[in-house]
Amino acid sequence: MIKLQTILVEKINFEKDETKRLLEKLDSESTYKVQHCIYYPYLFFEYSVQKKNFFDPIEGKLGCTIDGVNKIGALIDTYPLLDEKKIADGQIVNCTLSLPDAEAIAKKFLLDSILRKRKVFTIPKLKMTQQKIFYRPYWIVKGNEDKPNHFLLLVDAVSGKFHPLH
Amino acid sequence: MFHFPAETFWLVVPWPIIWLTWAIIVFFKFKRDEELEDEYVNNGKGDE
Amino acid sequence: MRVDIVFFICYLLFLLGIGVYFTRKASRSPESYLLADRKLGPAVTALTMQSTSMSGFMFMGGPALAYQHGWYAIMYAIGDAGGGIVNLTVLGKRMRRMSQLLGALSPIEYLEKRFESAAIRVVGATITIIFLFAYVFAQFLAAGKTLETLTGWKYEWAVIIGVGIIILYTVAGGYLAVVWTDFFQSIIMLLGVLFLVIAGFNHVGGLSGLNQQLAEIDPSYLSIWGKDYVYYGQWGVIIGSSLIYMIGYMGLPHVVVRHMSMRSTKTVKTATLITAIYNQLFTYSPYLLGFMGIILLPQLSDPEMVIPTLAYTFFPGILSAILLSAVMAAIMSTADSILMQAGTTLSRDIYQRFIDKKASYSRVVLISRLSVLLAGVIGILVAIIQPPRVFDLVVFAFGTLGNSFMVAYIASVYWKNANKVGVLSSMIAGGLSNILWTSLNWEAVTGIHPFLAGLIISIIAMLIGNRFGTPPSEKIQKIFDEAKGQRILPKNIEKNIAKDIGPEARTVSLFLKQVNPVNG
Repeated sequence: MIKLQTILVEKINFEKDETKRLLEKLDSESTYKVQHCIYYPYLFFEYSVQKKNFFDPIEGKLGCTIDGVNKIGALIDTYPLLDEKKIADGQIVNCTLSLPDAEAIAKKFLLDSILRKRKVFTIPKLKMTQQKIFYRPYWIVKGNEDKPNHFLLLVDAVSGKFHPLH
Repeated sequence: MFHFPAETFWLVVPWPIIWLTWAIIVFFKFKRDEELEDEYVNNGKGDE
Repeated sequence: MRVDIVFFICYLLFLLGIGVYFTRKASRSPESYLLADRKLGPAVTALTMQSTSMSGFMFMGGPALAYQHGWYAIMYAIGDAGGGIVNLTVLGKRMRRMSQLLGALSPIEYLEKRFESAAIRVVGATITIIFLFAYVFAQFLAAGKTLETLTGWKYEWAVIIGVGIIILYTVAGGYLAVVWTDFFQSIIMLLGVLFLVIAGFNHVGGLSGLNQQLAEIDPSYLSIWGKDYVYYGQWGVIIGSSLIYMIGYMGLPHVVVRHMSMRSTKTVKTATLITAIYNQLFTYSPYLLGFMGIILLPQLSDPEMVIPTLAYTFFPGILSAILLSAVMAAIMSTADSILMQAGTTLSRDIYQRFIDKKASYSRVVLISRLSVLLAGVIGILVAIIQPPRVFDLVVFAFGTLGNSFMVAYIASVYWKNANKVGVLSSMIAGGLSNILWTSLNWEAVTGIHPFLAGLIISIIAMLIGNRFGTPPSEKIQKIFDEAKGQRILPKNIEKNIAKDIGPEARTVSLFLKQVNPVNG
């Protein structure tokens, strides 16, 4: 029996056909077959920033995601569009990062990003306003399937970015 | 320039620059290729 | 005793020391003796390739050409300045990989295994032995003559001493001794020539001063068409002169073997850069000195003596001390590589391949040492006796070797379906063309340089001959693909990979293996 989980999934922008078309457009000499979808965990954090500085007040909201396995942070400038979905267990990559750990990483990551971009005299105050665990869909695509030089690609179904798999 | 007739100048003087440029381009191209290769290979053989 | 002779003798002993130093390491295995265990770094690779390529010609023939023709001669330098760069860029990586995959220890063995043909080994070995031996006799002769002229020693002794040292350190230390002595030889060569050029420019008033004075003697010295515009409009000759050294080295077994002995494919990029810098400093200089000779030594009887005469007549004592060693370095660094290749061909390509296939490691090393010794001794004898016809072969040597092997080496790494028939055709046709073109002087009739002719003919022969052969075996095709590097991905895909999702990809790869362990 297939176990299902209810998880928050990011909205797919590149469906199967669209993905296949995208790849074939880039590389017309190979054949592409979109095999299936897997779901990759991220932890989303939104913070509001308040810094009382006479000369350079920063205000507003900052958001970032933390890779739920590799713990790597990424800034995002748009709010992820999420839907609740029931997904089979076997398609979900387990999140190995706990929420408290992730929060600490996110805070540090955001502070580093702010400090890198602007010269500040004091550490800005970050207040967490949202946190969520969600899953981004990725396609597993096989290129040149029946040929000796076949390869696998991981394609981000939200952004269209891809990277080879082994 | 350097008292060369124009024909000789343009057929001769650029060459050292051409060769060095070629070598520099090749250096960076191969470097990039190797980094890509490493990523691909490590991705496959990675943390096993 | 004169300063320069003392310096030279110390230098010789230093080289001998290097050979002795590597004796034990070289004895470990055939791979050690013949290929330095494929462990050479970029600087050694670059400099041994260059010093091997630049022979005594650079100090004698080149300047003589410059002295006689003026700026036309620089066409040869331009080709030489790029030859190593082209060689490494085109052949370097793939040949390094492929030679390891094929398990080849000699460049001729490499061709046999790649094209699966004993005939190629035989033809290749034959061409190599004939023309490399001719080449090596010429180097030994040059060594003797140079040493005789510069030291006043008797010719026979000059040959025995100068060449004897080469033979000793090559026999002892094999390929390791050759490349490491080459490393130091190349530095001496460069220093020698640079000091002379700087001193020379001081004398003539820089490049402008040089050209001005040349123009006053004869304006055609400044023309690329040669003195008295002798080659006017003959682009075939001009292009051929540059081309021969720009790409010719890809056909010389004793040069391309350097691709096989590199530490890894990653060595290529740095070696290329070092080669480029070295060459831009070195290759033009002898010709510049030749031009200076036109002004400073107008009554010179033997143009080949431009550089030594300049050094001893005009430049301070310190410079001449180094000059003798620099000239000899150029000769010796070429001679030892050729000698090593001759020994390799005799031992690996003939003895081990056809006479005693089951020879043990130590036996192969021993036979290799004896082969080098044998080749060296024969070389000394020929250089001393100087049979008249022998040295006519030298004129063919570079061109014939280049025309015979270049297409073969390039096809081996770039043309998957190149087969033995195509390659054999190109080797024979190319070699023969060069011999005929040179000996029958067809250059005068056609306006095409023999090397250019041989190149075109060897390419045509390859294309035609290949049709009559069968594609290489699957094993070789697989090796070919592997030698290309990890480029399993199409180019456009590879160009657009998003590195930032690399970590995700790594995780997912593992995930997929766990979920579906049989998945491929």
